[in-house]
Amino acid sequence: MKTGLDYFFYADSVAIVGATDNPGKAGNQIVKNLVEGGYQGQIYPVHPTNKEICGLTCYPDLLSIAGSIELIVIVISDFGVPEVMRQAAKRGDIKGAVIIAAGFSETKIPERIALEEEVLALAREAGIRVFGPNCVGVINTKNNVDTTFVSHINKEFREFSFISQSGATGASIIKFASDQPVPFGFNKWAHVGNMSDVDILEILAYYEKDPDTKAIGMYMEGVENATEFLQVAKRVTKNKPLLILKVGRSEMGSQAAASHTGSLAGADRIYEGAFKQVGINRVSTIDELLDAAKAFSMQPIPKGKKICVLTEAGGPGIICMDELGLSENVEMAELSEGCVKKLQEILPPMAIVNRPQGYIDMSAAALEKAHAEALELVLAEEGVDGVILISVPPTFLDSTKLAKEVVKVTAKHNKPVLTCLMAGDWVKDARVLLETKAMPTFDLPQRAARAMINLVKRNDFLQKLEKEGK
Amino acid sequence: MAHPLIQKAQQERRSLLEHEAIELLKAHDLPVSPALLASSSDDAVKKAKEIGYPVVLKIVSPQIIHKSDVGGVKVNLKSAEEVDVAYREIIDNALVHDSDAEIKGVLVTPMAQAGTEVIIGMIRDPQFGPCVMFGLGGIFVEVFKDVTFRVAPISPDDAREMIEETKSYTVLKGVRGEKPKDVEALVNIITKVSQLAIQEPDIKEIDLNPVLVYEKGVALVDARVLL
Repeated sequence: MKTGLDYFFYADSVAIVGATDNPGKAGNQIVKNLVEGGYQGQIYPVHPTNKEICGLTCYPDLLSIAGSIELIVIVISDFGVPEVMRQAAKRGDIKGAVIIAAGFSETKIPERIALEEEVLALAREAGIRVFGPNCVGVINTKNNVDTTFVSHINKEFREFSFISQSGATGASIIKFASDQPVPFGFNKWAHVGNMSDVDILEILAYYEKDPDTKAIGMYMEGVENATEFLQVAKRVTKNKPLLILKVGRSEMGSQAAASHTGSLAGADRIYEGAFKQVGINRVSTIDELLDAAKAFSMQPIPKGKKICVLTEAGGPGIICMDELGLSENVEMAELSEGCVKKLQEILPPMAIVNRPQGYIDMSAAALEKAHAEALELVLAEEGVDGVILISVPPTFLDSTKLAKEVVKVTAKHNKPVLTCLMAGDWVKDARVLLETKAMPTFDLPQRAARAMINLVKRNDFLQKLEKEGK
Repeated sequence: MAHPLIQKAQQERRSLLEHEAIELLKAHDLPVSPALLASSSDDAVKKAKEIGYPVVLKIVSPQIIHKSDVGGVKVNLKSAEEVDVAYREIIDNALVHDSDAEIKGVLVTPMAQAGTEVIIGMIRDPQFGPCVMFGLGGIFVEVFKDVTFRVAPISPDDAREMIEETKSYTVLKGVRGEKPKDVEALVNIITKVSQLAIQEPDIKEIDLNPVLVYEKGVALVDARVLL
């Protein structure tokens, strides 16, 4: 039995009002995404004169469609929306509407605020739930429901779902995610727009219950009902990691956020404290969010905070240590004497083992086998909760062979391993191989470090919960 | 029901006077230093004797917020004579500053020993509701803005975390051979202020500045409660 947001994320049929055969227009891209993405439900393009769009029969209006419709996407301009909603109401079978059109309450113009209220009243009356207006709606990578006009590319399904308060940030993060060695597909993705009906909290609660969602990410400018938000977040973080890119870290950023969505950006230090209190991982940039998304969706949460840095190159290893050292959450791994001795035996003589503690510079002479053996040794150590493996594969090292070895070793241990292969396209195949096996890869050491810090923070919070429960 | 002192202040359309603020905090189990209101110089001498020398005298008037700025505070008074003179000076200064100021008396408190100064405050945020702030006093707050917030209610673990996450926590841990300061006493104040803020929704702001923290215990020597 479908309820609430299921009608969006699991819509059996979608009508696109404002579809067009004119390529490059949003109303064309949406139809194209559904068709090319392989959406299996019924697709009904609606346009007053077009006969066919992307090979599909086009209808002049909603009332001329004989089949049943669950979801409509409204991509016509502002003042035409009430009429569409009236038709939708008249049909009686429509359960959800994504209103892409802008020019409503976000303009702060009384006439346009009233327009939004009118549309919403019509929808409420007919039992139709609304995303937006001024939004791009939802994506479900599992069944290829996609109401956005972000051009589609095939992606690997990852158990990470995303909510955005900004369409452009949300869309660009889809693009960045697609640009990963193995294109990263958000399980579910939603952009809320004006939140006249469906809001962040409802989506958050939906993701909380979604069995396909292992962790949740969000881009946030501000919330209206902070108290309620904290209550929901507190419940969510008991079960799932919640990563939020909350902007407004500086006074200037805050002002920009306030004028963008009109939401109260609020005193940043209060957000900072409140997020910590309810176990939200606050991230600072899109990169950090995406890197953490990869780590959380593919790797286990470490059981402690002791991290080992295993590097084939000095400089990158130090950059990684710098980043880890700036975090108060991470400690360096403790290696047993036996482990240190064995590492010295298997690694080239110029290797620097456990100096400083938990840091191993294997040296550039370390080949595939040495990487794998060293990784195996440290992963087996009790004093190691997670490993960052860094390599700048030289010409004489076969990076795909290295990747295969790493996959083999890592599979035996339930500890997070984040791999940083620094050689651009030269190591693309190796990174694809790793990510196909759910081993996240990073192009820069500080990015791997930030992702690890986020994993450690999550464990810190889980331990705090456990302590409070006792 | 709001505390009677809050009700009274509301009726008179003002915030709590310092001695009322102290009484309210005491009623909520906060470790405030004793404070007695004196209505004459003789009375001040009597109260000073009760509290024990040395003492501090502070003007109490709804019109005078920044007491030190108008010469309304005299510290480290060691004898009846000093208290007598100080009392008169404070009243004179207050009246010079504002001849219409309604003077409720002079508050006599013990002179606290020097300790590490911290600030604990509460503000009611329009979105999050009551939030408690913690920071080390002096330049740490003014220049470095090294403060941290949590939303009430605040658990002891959260309170500890907020103290530990300030950069100036290093100072509380003890620097240059000093022993560590009583962090648990601060945890106690933070959690109690958070409870007070929830119980008394009419309080807009609480400002405990400074709170002096020692190796063992604290001295809560100044309190402002705004309605």
